[in-house]
Amino acid sequence: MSTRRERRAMEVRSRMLDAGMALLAERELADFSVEDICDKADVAKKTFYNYFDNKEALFADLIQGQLFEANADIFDRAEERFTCFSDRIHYVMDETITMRRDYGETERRYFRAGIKEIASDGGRILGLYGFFEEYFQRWAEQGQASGELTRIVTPESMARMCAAGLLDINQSWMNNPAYPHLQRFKEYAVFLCGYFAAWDPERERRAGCNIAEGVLLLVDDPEKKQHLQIQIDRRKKLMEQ
Amino acid sequence: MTSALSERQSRRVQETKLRIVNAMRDYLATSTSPAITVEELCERADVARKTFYNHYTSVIQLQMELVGEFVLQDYRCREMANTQTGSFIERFYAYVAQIILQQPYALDTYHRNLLRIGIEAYFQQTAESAELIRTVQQPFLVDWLQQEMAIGQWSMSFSADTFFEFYMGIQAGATVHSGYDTEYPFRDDIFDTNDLMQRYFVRKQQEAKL
Repeated sequence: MSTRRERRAMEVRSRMLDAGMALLAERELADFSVEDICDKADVAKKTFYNYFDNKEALFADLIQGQLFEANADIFDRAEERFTCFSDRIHYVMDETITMRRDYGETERRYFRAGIKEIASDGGRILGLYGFFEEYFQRWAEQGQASGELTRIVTPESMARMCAAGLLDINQSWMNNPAYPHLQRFKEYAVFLCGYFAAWDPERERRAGCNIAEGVLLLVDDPEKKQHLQIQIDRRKKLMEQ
Repeated sequence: MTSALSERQSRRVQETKLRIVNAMRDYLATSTSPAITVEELCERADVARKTFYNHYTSVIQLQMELVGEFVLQDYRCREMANTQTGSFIERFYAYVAQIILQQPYALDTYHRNLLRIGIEAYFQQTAESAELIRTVQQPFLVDWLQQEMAIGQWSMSFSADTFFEFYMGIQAGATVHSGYDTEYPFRDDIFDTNDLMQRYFVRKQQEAKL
């Protein structure tokens, strides 16, 4: 049970978040100030700075919170309803498309307001990617175990690739309203399933670390040779597991 | 006499500019964050604030120039790969091989800071970053693939452009991890991403032939 003080702090914080959101629905971030937020939320300016460094920080908290909440819902459902990697990926992308169907200028402005702060803070960016990677990694592990996905790369690596592309589509749309984000999410689902799909067992067995093996033929430098050999050995180990 | 003077002057102008650039390089090679004010940089370079603004409009402009310099090594790789003939997969591989040969084997503080500047620009889409993103989008890879698609070597349910958007998106994620996550195995990921790409290419080609 939280204390009265904590409850009060939560209430003040959410009042400021709501006020910020309401203002952003009307105007661009540059067109209102911390004073305006305080005015609307009915808090002192000093109180605002007890919670946030600046107005950008407020919006970073806001979008991060909402992004995690909305997506946790979708990703949890995908995990509950489906067992194979490709079903889960397609479900997630379809639900994302449904959620974003009515996204317009307000939503773009809203994302852009928060991303500035997130982009300048390494911990926050990694947190953003990490949120998605956690789901994808679990799904990749299960997909590899069932034989659906290739084992030439680690589940961590697959998870990073899944999350990176997903966030990149959102990024492209944020920077360009004409960007066909809905179509891209669908295409990305198709791409990922093909990209990670396992080959027939015989060819999987023969699969090596092709680039490292190729580059090895081009270099004389013993140090580089050694680094490439590390890659080849790493891949061999992954395939044996 | 006047021309000799102006030559000397212009040499001095270049030397001052170099001093600013080197002060920035030194700073990025040791600092835990790329953020720096004009005052601080001028202090380090021992030049007046006004002198800085004779050369650059902002700290970001100078930093993006250094990021560009790092990224331009990609251009050299492209040129070398472009001289190769053969199928798309062969050229793609030649290109990736060049990148692997030229990239540093461990990221030092300087390069990590450059990546961080690039990441911030990627998320914020400033005028400088838009230019840089255009540079690294590697339209030549799209051209190569389109040439083969045109003669029926390929079949994909989306365009070559979209395909490389995904490829670049994955690389943007790798850059974020390289910039901020010291545990991130960035070299492993280069091999993983591109080996998966190669498998994907081979499979798509086979599907097209069936």
